[in-house]
Amino acid sequence: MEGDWWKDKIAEDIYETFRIKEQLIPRYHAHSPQIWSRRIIVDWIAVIVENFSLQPTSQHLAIYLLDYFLDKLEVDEKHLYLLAIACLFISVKFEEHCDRRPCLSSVNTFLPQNTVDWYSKDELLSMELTVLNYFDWILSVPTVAHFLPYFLNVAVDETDMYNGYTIRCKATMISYVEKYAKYYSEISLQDHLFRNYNPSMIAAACIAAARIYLQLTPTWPKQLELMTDYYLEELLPCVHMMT
Amino acid sequence: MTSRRDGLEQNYEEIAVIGNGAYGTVYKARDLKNDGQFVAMKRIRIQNTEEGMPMSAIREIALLKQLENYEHPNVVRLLDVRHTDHTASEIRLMLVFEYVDQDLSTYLEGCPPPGLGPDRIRNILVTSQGTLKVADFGLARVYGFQMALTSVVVTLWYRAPEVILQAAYATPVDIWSCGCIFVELFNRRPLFCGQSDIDQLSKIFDILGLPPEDDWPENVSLPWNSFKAVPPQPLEQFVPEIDNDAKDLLEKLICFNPHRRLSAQEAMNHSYFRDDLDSLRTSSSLSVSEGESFETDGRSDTPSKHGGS
Repeated sequence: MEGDWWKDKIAEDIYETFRIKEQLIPRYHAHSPQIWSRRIIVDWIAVIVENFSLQPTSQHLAIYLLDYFLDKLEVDEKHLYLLAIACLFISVKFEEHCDRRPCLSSVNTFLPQNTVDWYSKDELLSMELTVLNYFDWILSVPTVAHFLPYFLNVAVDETDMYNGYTIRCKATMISYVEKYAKYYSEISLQDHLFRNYNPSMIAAACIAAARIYLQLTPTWPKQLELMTDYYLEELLPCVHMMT
Repeated sequence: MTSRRDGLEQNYEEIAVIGNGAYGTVYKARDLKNDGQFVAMKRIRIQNTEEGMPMSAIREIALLKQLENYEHPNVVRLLDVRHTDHTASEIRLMLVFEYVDQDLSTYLEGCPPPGLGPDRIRNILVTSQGTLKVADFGLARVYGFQMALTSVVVTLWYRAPEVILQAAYATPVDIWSCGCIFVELFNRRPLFCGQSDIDQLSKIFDILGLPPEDDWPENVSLPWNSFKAVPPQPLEQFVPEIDNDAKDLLEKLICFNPHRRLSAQEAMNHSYFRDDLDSLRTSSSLSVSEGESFETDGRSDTPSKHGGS
């Protein structure tokens, strides 16, 4: 079921469900008085994700939970990292394979020294419950990381031109586009202004940005337009924010 | 927010213990705020551990909450989620579900023997109106494009061969399980009762025959030639009461190759169900007679396409 399975009806169903669901994502107000700390916390989450080899879907969901939680509620400064851990743990348990869950004591060792104390199991469970209650336990939220793999399936075509030449090896080019699209998707996590765009649009913009950077032409071929339902013109504001 | 702290005992009056599940106790209770209507309360004790809230609880509640939006008639309603204040060592979560009279095993026990195996089908409930409801989503997941699924899914007897072989799998595994349960509705006992993974596969091949080598999934540790080449047996030998339509459906549900197994949509379009739906549409008296036949404490005939007559 690997390989071409994304072409199946089920992949299409999943995609369409995600597109409907992203319409239900509430407006983000950027109200949090703690928004100054967002970048630090988002970067810290990236370190944990890297160290425990967690999936991008968990990372993106965790930051979604963090943003929308802080948009309404304030958290004691010394509990900001606790909130980040709770958001990440919830996301990992929802999104990932059973045996890839980091535990609190090892994550504690990554806390910045001399700023916060290590968190207890009690505090973690309590914070997780607060977050789960806030979201009414609804965790199935499409993020950029959910759309990206689907769009990447058509991100490169044999007819693409690289710097005016035909591409020699499609597989190599795909891996480049993947790498840069992933890089841009991480950029999109760092600035809360990306919350103004739908995740599917950001994911499409990541691929457009990667193709522009790699000098692939046409920048936005027909198959990407059809797959993503976006014209290049719609994506450009988002692309400019990334690059 | 439906989830609140404490006060749960005042709102719900426990009547009886219905069952002890894998991670909690289920009670029949009355909802005192809603005219004392029956509810099922699943009480989960959660120990404080290094990983916080257990994954099964997060997945089960998150999925049920999400499904609430669709109000699917065949999924048990989750009415409320509550939790007690937490003490040093544990908290208690309480899931309040709509109350459903019986599970599929109890329902089938009303039928004449040959009796049921030890593994009961607890996750499929049957209302007094004869509506099936799926419960228990502790291991369920929302589908995404890049999924690493666990190999410990469903009770061994209902497990699709690709899962046992630890090959890639997706929604066809559920269709396989449906096929197994379909047989059980005829026989009132499971079809493939393996004692171990290998035994389970052997029992499957004893009936379906060893599949052609081309159908064997790639990159699995159990090689195709480690099984005896046996020919397929006629299914009616194992399901004596099956008719031709049902047999054709069954063959397509328990097809070894997941790519050729029916999809849920295709199964619904199968002539076995087609006749059923047509008779539902044309016969206005059906709902009454169906209701009666289901109320005789779960006693009913073998499922046939004419509404159990």
